[in-house]
Amino acid sequence: MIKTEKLDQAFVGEILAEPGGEHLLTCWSCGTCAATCLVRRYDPAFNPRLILHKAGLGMREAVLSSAEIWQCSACDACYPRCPKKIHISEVMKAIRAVAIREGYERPGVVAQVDVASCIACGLCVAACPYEAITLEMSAHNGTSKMAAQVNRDLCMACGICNSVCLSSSITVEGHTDERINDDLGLSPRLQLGTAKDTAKVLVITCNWCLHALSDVSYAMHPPEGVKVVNVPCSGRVAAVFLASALQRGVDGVLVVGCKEGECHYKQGNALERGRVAAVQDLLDLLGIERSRVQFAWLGALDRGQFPKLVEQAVHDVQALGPLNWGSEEARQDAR
Amino acid sequence: MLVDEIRSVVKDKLEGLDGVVALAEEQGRITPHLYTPGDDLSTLTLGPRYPLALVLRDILKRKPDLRLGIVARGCQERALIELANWRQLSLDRVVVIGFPCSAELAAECRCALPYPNEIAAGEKVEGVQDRLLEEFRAAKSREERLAFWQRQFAKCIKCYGCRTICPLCFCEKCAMEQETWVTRGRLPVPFPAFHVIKAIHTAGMGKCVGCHACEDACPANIPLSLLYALLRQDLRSLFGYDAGLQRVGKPPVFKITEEG
Repeated sequence: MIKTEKLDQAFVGEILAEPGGEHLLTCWSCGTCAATCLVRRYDPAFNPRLILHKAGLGMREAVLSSAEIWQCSACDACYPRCPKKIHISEVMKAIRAVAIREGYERPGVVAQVDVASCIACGLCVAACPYEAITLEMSAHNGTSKMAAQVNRDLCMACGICNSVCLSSSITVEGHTDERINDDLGLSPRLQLGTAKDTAKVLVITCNWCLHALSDVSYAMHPPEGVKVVNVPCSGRVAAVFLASALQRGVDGVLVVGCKEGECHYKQGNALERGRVAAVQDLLDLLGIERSRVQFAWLGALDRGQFPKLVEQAVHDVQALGPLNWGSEEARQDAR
Repeated sequence: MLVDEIRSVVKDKLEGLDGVVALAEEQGRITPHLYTPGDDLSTLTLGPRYPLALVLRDILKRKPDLRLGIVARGCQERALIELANWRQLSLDRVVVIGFPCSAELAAECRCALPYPNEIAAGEKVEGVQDRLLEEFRAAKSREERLAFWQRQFAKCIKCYGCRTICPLCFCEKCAMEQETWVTRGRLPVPFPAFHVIKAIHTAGMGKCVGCHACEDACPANIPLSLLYALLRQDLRSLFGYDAGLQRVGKPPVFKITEEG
């Protein structure tokens, strides 16, 4: 129940005054944003239409104290579909700005910097889709040094910073390198089925690109020789995971990301596509077939297509045969 | 003699500096040395090739306020510039005393640019085209390439010499030492992950200046500079970028990660 005496028009004014908040009151409440929203697929409690509606009514307390205002990852899937052309992620940003002013904090984990080992090269600053990282003088060992600093109000914990960091100095709790490696099952060696003539393929998918139930259930019960692992974003998959997989019992790796323009974290998929291409070039120099490492898009409308992508990859890798190089090394590594 | 000319330039420059990084020869041993004002410069020597940029980088990391000079070949000047491009040192206070390499060394390094942007003494020699690259690309089938690198990397004794001597390996925490990727105390090194990390984090990031220090340091004679030169050639054709040729605000890898 909405109590009219609790509605606060000043709150509406504060949002409208923030850059990006201007269009708050033009919303028709049609719900197209909610129908498109990627976050909502995983958390039905999240509804951008309702947030805008409540904010427009002036429900200060209810809006600012909710966890939902921090959940929008600005993938902007809703923006082109909104009939009123409201840039909803910008309105969310305006609402957050008001929240931050009033002392609210983003809940949950954000990227953590190890100041001691950070070399302040700025690669994470360039990679962050949210401009959440800056280089600042930070306290360290009684003096100060330049290091990356994460603005917790902007960080979406995608881990793309971690994937580009050369010196392993920035991580997100819950999906550190060690944790992902454990999930991939690569340490010490991935055992995929027993059939000798079956290609062993590791499929790494982002959290957001499997939509159809049939795709999700295929991922949970893949055919023999295939393992499917989820990561927060395909852009989280650093090159070393790919090289590592090819050495630890896998004949091929397929990384599946969202379709171009649909990345939940803005550009993680594009980053990964480029990275896979670069790794392919390097593998080619080393005499390892390019198609042992692949990248594929999966769009929001490509429902039920996931098995086809996997089967195509398995087919490609099967044609190349098993990776039995340095079988002595492989045996030793397995011990 | 070129070395005499350089000594006299160093003598002049030292008057306005806290020190000059160069190589010194004493009792037949050549080591990196920090010459300070008033020092005897008769021990200063130019050769052999050595990544002095690494020495300067490490001194400046501890004492950033020092005003230092460096006696540098072309590749070492490029290493300094690339370090600056990666924000690892400031060139504002560094005085580069550049000198060209000999034609023999240029040939040995297969170096396309055997001289720095500015030379304090000596005559430039022509750059050399790296024929090994074309031969490697043209003559070797995929199976041969795989066999070749497997044989080469199998020799690795995991001494980390290539990493430690690289002027562009400036991480505080090296990925090649993370247990997640490389199990400690085990040989042979994981193929191809171990050398792929090294290759990606240096040449693959567009940082490699082709100074051959890694190859000189390798006790197993693994032709690392061939692999890195191949990667540099790829990056050059993709982005038109050569590490350390000039100061840039953002090396290509920064632009790529920014744009996704």
